[in-house]
Amino acid sequence: MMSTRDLIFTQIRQSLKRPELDENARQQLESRIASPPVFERPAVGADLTTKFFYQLEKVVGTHDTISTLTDLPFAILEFLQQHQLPKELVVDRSFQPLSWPPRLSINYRAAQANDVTSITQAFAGIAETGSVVLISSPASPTTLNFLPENHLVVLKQVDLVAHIEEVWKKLRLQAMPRTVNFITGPSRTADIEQTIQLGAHGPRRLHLILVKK
Amino acid sequence: MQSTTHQFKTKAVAALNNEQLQRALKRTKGHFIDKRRAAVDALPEFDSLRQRAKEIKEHTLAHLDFYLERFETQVQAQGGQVHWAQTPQQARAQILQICQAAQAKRVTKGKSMVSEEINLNSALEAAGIEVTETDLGEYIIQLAKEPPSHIIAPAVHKSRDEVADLFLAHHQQYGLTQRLSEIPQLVNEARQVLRAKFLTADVGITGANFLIAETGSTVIVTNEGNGDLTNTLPRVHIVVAGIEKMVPTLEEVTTLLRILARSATGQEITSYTTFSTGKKRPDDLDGPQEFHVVLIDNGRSTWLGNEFHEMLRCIRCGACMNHCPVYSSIGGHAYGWVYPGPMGSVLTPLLLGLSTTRDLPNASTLCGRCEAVCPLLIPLPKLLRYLRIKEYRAHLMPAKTRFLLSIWAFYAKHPRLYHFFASRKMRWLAHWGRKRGAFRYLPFAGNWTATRDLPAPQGETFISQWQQRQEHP
Ligand code: SF4
Repeated sequence: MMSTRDLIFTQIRQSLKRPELDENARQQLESRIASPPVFERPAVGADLTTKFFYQLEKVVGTHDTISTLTDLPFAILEFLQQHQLPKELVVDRSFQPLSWPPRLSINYRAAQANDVTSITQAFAGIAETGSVVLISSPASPTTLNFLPENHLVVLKQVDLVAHIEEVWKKLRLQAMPRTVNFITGPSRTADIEQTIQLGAHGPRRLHLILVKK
Repeated sequence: MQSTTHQFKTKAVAALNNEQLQRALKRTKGHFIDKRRAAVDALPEFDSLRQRAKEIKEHTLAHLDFYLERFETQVQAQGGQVHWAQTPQQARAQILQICQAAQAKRVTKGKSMVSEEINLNSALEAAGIEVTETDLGEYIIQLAKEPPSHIIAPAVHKSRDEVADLFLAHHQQYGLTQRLSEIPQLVNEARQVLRAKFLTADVGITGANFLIAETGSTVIVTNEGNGDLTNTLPRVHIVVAGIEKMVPTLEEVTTLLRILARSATGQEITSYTTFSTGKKRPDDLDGPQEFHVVLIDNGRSTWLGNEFHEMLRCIRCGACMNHCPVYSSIGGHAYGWVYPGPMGSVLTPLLLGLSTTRDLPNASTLCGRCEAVCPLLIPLPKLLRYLRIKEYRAHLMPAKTRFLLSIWAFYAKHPRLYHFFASRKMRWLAHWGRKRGAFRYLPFAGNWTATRDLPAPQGETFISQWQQRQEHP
């Protein structure tokens, strides 16, 4: 008896009025995948940072710029003070080498139900859309991006790209992570009377910290 | 869900007389249309991207067997499993089996139209599993025990007052004592209740906007983040998707993403676009231990290459219903099943058969606005016409309609006779309608004139006017 899978493939080929593709045709499709067609992209302009911030502000993201990574703990402290948040953080492990002030309680782990603020490192930022790209890894668990109410994302200037396609180029240099998250502003819903409301299920605030160097 | 499409006419009339629904429809209509317009105007490349999107989908469909196989291999390489279902029954059984093997008591779900198509929730509930929809709109209609009335805004027909009543009725078990009336309070209430569900769910089920053959990834787009909590927190992640969701590469998905959000909500991109590839990696600190993709055919493979082929390009953006004068007048529920609006009037008869759904392709003036806004350039009016032809051939039309149509067809095939009678009729109607300028009632067309007036013609047919112009330019 044919399996369901075989039945589906048989029907597809019958509908397409051809047998299974031969080796040659398969090779052609494989090389198409290896160098995929790239189509029209929205204009971004020469100044990526300006465009990126403009797009981020449109989706109610906030941002801050620091010159080097050593300034990061201070920028974070300022954010916590400004919003009167507890001095407790869940943090991407790649920031462990920084010298964190003892006032801050820092945890390197997956996020839990009561975590209020998380700090993650962006794999890339996209000027076209104002998105940050976060990829899952042992250092950067996906829950950091969704459970806490305040999500702070650190983006290095060199990782800011013009278009989405450049993220793929960069991503192909490594193994595919379990999750790739494009995040564009805080969580929102318009499901009640078409009225936009922030903080539906994910973070209520998305704050970006751009590191110049 | 069970279809009530055979009651379309009664339900449509009830919808027209439902004041609360009419208010909701009015509130929504301009909203979607204006936002899409602004987003499209801001992207000069939009129309060429639509053409590209169509080409991408056509290329994929022409090689669907290859891409499906490649997708399967990639999912397996990342520790995931692919399951194949030809029918809704098979899909339900497979998903139930995965849940039972994981000893699941609680399931959270992201929004998935195909899961409604296969009637998944009731099957899981019948097996004693608690199922919670986590998209706010889906959650609201789950509490109300109603089907979605829009594919991207499922509770668009509900007012804040109705949501307030629903929450008061259902959330007392979670400690709600007061009726909440403001939208921020209501959203927050849902956030608290659903957060507890996310954290204790055993299995998370999501749909997929796209499947990527290159990487074996499944893609979801959301604004709330509910899909991400669903696919990250539980031990098991199940993706349900129709086989037509396939796209070859990340680059091509990018092109489709650029037109999807703009067409749906007028956003350039949604808050969250997530690519899930396989199960948790060995050293990861979170993520599901099992990753399953259930691929559903449900007749789709038989549409490949036939007259309904183009419907397989649909990316479920909802633009066609947002711009449809029929949908805007009666809302989604009158359509009686999962998919409303123009795309539903094509899909529902294809999925359920014409005998109970024949009203849908006929409930259209074929005005063409759906085709004009469809990002995948799907000729919806043409597909509706094909369904009407099918209906006629299958003798599903009432005898009276068939009889009158055959008389009309006879004259239409004999142009001289047609013209002779048409011009007589024009003159007659013009004469009788001269005073009021319109007819309130016409013999044999009482049903039609019961809700509208027919403007009186000028007295000449188009052909005779044309001939006169040719003679006296
Ligand atoms: S038919 Fe076109 S407009 Fe309608 S939902 Fe599908 S893709 Fe969108």
